[in-house]
Amino acid sequence: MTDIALTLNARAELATIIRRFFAARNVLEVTTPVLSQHAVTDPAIDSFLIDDQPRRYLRTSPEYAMKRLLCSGAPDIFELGPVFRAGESGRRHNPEFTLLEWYRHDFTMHELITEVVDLLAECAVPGAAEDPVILTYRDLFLRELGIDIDVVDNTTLSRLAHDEGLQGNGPFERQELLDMLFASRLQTTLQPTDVAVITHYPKAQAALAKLDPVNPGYALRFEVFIRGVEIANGFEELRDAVEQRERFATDNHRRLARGQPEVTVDERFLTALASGLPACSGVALGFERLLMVTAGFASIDQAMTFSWPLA
Amino acid sequence: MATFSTNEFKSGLKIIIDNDPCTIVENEFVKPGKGQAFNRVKIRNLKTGRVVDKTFKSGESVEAADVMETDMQYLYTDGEFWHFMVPDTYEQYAADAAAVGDSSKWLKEEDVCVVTLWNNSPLLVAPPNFVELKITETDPGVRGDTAQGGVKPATLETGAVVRVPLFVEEGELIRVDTRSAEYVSRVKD
Repeated sequence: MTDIALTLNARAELATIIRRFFAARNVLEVTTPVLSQHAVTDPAIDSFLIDDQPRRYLRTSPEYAMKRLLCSGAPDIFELGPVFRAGESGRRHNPEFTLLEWYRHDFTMHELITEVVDLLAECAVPGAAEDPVILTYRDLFLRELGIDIDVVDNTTLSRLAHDEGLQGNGPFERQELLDMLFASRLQTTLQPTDVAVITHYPKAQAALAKLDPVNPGYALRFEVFIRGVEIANGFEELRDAVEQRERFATDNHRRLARGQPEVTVDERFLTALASGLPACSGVALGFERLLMVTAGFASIDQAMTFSWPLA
Repeated sequence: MATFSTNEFKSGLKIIIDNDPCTIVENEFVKPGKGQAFNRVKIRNLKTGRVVDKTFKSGESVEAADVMETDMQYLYTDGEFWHFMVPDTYEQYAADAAAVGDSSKWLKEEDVCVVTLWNNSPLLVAPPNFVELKITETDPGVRGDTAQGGVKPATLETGAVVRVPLFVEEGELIRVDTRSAEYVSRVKD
């Protein structure tokens, strides 16, 4: 079998397993627009602009559109489709990739984590049939670096990050230092673990997740790692439109401070949120990342039908 | 000052880290789904040869190192400097002991070496992978012992000492792999 046939078969098989999994659970497949009038505000994500009139952006995720569907009465839904992130290229990144995103009514974060792991088991991910290792973000820092991120100061974080090889004079934001330590040190410690789930990310990284009512310094956000590689990111969803608007504004302040263009806020999304998002949890999972695990591909290029340089 | 952005990083690129010239051995783009992107690189310090891991915030710029590898013929040493010449242009360069380092024990006049230039001065000298050198001193050979695989030390014309089979004689020319400092074969004149 040629390499391309291997890729095509692996893609088709995995998509079939995913669709069967959701059909059995009565989750409806939906298709939402790839081109949108609004880009995402997250300063760490860059959208491709289609510089035509009227201007449109290639979506970086179907999140806003899917939540608008939920606000207008949609049942449990999933989408398996292309998303685009400018500048993300590497062994595990391709600027165009396939995202599996789904939303479940009345699911708590932990119920959704269970479902993600069930799906991984269905896809025959090694170790996914066992209970995953579940750890909070704060506990992971405590366990591996011996620091409590609730109290540690920026000078200590900066010293630790530079000890780990961080270059450049900065200044680095607190969250960047945490990201650096997470990406270069903590994620590596997850490599011996088949499936690890990190929960309760700091408020500054809440994105569109609800804050934990028990400890509002943290969000009900989780990430799933297979042998240290990030596979999925999920939230118990924020339903408060006022708080969501504030987070968008904070994102834009950070963008300006970093010399990035401001992003106009998606008012349709905020209006939908204000009209009422049902209690739900949602998660996005990188289809090609999962394929790398199930098909044993060393690079995301092998998981793509045509990789970025050939597309 | 020439610079490279992290999105130009690839193996072989020469950059300045902590004032030293370095070469990128491996470059990996790492980014959490929600969070800052980084380039994690393995770099070799060209002065010390040490390989270390460094992490750059993606999008940052790093000073380029003006480093070039050139084939040069070794001419002679005056005791303080080792003199080399670019065969095509007859341009000459003088390398100090720090640049020549351990390579000095393999340098034979007229051999072609790879000289790494940093800001146009020799930074590193790499001898040819294989050199042919005369044995100036070794114990007398043992006849009929060619199959036993015994070895003895032999001093070469450049001062290097290598282990050679027992049957190899003083005054003979031998071929040596400079990367492992191992005897390869006898060379017939």
